[in-house]
Amino acid sequence: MTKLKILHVEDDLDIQEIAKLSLETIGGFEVLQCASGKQALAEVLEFAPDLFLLDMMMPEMSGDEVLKNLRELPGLQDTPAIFMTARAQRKEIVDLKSLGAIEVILKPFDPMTLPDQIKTAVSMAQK
Amino acid sequence: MGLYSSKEFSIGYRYALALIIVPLASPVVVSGVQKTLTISHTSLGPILILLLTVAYAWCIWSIRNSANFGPSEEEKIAYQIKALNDHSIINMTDEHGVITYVNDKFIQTTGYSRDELIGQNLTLLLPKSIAAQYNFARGYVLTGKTWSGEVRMKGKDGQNIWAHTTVAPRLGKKGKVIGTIAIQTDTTQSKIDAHDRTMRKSMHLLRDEVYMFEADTLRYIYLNQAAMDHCGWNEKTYRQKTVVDKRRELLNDEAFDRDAFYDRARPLIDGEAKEIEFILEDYKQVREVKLQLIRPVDGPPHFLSIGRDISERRAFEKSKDEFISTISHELRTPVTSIKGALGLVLSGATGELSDKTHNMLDIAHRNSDRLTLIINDILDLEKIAAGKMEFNIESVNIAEIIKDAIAANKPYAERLNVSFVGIGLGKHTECFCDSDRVFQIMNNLLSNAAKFSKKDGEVAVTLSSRDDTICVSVEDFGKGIPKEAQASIFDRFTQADSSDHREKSGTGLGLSIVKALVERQGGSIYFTSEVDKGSKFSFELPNKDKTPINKPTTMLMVAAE
Repeated sequence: MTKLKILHVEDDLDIQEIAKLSLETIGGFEVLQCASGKQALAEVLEFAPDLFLLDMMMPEMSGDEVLKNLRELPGLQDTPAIFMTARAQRKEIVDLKSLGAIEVILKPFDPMTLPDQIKTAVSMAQK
Repeated sequence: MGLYSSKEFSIGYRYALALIIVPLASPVVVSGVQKTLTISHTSLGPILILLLTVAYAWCIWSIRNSANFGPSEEEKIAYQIKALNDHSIINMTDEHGVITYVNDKFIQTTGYSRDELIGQNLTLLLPKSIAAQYNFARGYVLTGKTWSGEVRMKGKDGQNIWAHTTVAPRLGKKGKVIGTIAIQTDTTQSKIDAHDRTMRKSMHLLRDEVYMFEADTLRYIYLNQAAMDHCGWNEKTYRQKTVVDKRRELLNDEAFDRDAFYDRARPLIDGEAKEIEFILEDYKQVREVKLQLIRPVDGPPHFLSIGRDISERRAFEKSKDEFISTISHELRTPVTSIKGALGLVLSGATGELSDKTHNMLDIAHRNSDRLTLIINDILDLEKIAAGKMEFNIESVNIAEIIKDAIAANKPYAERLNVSFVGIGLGKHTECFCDSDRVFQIMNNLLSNAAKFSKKDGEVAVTLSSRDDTICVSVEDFGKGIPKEAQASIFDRFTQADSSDHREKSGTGLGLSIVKALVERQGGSIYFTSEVDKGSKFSFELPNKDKTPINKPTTMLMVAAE
């Protein structure tokens, strides 16, 4: 079975590093990390991910804007997306899911269980 | 000279005539005498007679004309009495103060009928507070002197009547005082006018805008200084304007017309509300407006509108919201890193740790958890306080939620060797609530109960229902809450005693959140506790949908009395 390829967009480099350890070492995924939406848009096509993992609150381009821009690119219309956000309001979660997200993971996340959360969300979405 | 002997002339008349004729005649006589010396003798006689005759005729004519013969003494007195009765409030009393006579004006002014007044003591009309003034004035008049002063009386409907009053004694035979007569001038209106003037002046000092306008024409009758400043009008110009003009000029609201205004004011007109509150937003400020319909007893109805600039308050609320949002992001981001990094290290993902290092990192990890909880709790409390927490109230089986919460807290309780015992959880129990929030409440109460239980203790969770309420209680048999701490147990950052803080951990915010969550769902929470016997927290929620959670923000009706 090939590794799930995840595009992770997160502006905080410490969190990037923790997530990298979690996703690669514990989850066994293949991960491309970008610090901004701009960088992600530039590198995404070459990487061809199976999943977007997007932080919501980022300067310049927020997570939902990044998703909208990614969807404009060829072949990325149906790539599943997961948002990570510190905002826990139910309405915001509903809004994000309506943008096409298969899951919303709340911060602070638990790096030990993050890979399982992602696997569960992906398999639920495939059903 | 028949004119002189006419009986129509009084002595005074003749006296006045003489006074006029003598000085008129004298120079003529003198000049005549002088002329006899120079002019011919024959011309003197006819000229003198002619002059005197003309003078007499003029005197008589002018005097008769001006005096017009006047009314008789009786007529004069009658006229005076009529004028007095039209102008004055008059009463007479006997020597004991019992009313023996009132004029029509007295009846009109006080609202009593004559029958209700005659035979009553005058004190019927006097407020208690002026008893001392009355007794003094009465005593003074009974000594035979006349008293004057300002008096306040109470009319039949309790209305204040102010009057300039003169009270004179009525004297019987031998000069004995047998009663009083009081003549009063009603000054109530000028008092009110003066009061109105003072009040209107005071209203100019207010920072709130005050507008008064007629109910039928919607034309302004009063604007205080702040209102004039806001509209750019002055004392002269605002009287030409109506409410509709104002909306059109200041807000460019061409769609606003009289009907739109009356639609808004409908609850006031129909008497359903005493006051309407709404928000008006224009290009430069946000204003909170309160509108009332005033129906004076003695004048046409008018609207009173008070506008307050709440732009600053709005800006403050906005910055507060932004601040909370920033905290939620800015604090959680580093906590995410700390907690995540420690979790990974502790799991051994980065290599083996010595026991000592593991212990130290474990402390750091646990405290990063606690920090997360505190941040979440503070944000929850802020959201509840600001009315921003969403409640999704629906009919649910509360027994299921309680069982879920028990399952979620079981691992924690087992670590403390505490077990949960459920009572009444077997049957379907309908409840109107937000299932997530009830879970949050139960989570808090269950973890508290486990935390404060003795080792190998039990926690009893009971669900029961009464007519229209569901009651859930969580009882532990642990150390209990000391009496002195009970009053403040729902306050923020309160725990029974500070040593617990380290021993049991927790934010001290849990119970205040629980209380707020219960209350926002239309329920109530209470507890009983005894030291070393345990504590029992119970909350009640409605099992019928009757909870108005969110108030409308644009229009708030204040219910009529």
